[in-house]
Amino acid sequence: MDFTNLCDEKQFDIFYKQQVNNAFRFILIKSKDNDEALDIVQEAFIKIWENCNKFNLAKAKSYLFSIANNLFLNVKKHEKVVRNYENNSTNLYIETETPEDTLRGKEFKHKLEKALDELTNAQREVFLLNRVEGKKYREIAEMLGISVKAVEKRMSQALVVLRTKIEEFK
Amino acid sequence: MKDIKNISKWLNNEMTEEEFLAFKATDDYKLYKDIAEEGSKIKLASVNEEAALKDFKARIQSKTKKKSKVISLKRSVFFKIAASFAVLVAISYFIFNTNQITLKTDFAENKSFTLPDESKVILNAVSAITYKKSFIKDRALKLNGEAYFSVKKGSSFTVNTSQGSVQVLGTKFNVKNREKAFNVFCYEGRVEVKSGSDKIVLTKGEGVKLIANNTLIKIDNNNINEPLWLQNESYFNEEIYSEVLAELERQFNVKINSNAINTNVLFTGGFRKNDLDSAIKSITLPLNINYQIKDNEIILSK
Repeated sequence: MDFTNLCDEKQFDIFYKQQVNNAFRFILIKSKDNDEALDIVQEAFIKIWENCNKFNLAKAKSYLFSIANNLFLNVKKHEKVVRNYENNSTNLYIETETPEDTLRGKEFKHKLEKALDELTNAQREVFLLNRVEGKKYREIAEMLGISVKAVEKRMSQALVVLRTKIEEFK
Repeated sequence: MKDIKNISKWLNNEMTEEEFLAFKATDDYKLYKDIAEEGSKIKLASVNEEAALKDFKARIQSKTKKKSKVISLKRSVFFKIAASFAVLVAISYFIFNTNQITLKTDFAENKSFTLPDESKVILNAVSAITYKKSFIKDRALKLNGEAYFSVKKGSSFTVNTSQGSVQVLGTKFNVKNREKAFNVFCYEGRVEVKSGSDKIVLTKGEGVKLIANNTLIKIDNNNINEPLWLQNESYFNEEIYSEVLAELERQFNVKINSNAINTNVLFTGGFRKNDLDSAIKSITLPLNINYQIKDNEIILSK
């Protein structure tokens, strides 16, 4: 059995299940809209499926992210009224409460989420991909189609802005 | 903050020991550490993979349907030739193939079928039966995998497998024909099992299995009246371990890497099909085998 043949439905299904949430959250961070993110991700997978003979499993992952990224950009370009999605991350983070959550911890978390809203989209994206999704800078660079240097720069900026904002909130 | 560029290195684990100690000594360190730690506790929404996959397949289907409405055959010579070929292929397919009917199940799937003579058959995961259209006349079928039969009383009913055949009148019985296992168990009535030159007649509560030197040995168990797999359990009685692993792969649609262990030992025990983790535990703990789940693969080690 060829484990790298994407046109094999079983192989594709495995690939799909492994990557769907990676891709979904990648777009969700940008779009902040669950339905829109799922639409874009499904569309990207359809493109992969339709071109399954053109690349192997190893390449498919990075194609998936760049196709999804491009689809997202197209959606935004066609939206005549650019929504003001800067201050609307309510859908983005899931409320989780663990027994260890102290009052102080909760307060800090709240501040961090507020500070994240102050970042530019590009900065927040890099920060969340690294912290929440556990991606290395090299992976992020690949997903976004930018250089590792640019990722490092955005990350540094993000950290500095977060620190300054959180200190301001005190 | 003089080394702004360097902070990003910290979160990619690229700082040298020296740089890190210097960074740690700054007043800002604690806050950065809180930001990094609290940041990684953030949870983003996720989708259910199975549901998303279903939705994906539905989207693909509606897409191809839409397309097929638009496409019209051009009346070129090419299409005429292609069309006549298609007709030819279709005709020959009907002539040569409609004689046979195949019923099958996929990974992690059980299905129940009614045969033309109203006998019932339940197929375990990754199994198939094939029979001729004239089944009613000779009541013979071919089995690959595992199935439970509840046969309507009547003339003889034969199950052929690659490792032996089972002949019955009217009865309930289970046949398992896998790469490393062949066994038959009778739950009602009488069945006759043939494998090579061996022939054994089974009555209610009796079973046979094929052992290493191609001989059939009898097993007795009066306490069960249907195979456990019908209740979503897989049970093994002194079966070769590689077959146990193969069954787990079939029931959960996973891959098992068993290169590091000896799979030639016999195993008695079983697993339930509702929870992969406890299923793996119940077949590895008794043999002191460790396991590790990575992506879709389970790696076993001593």
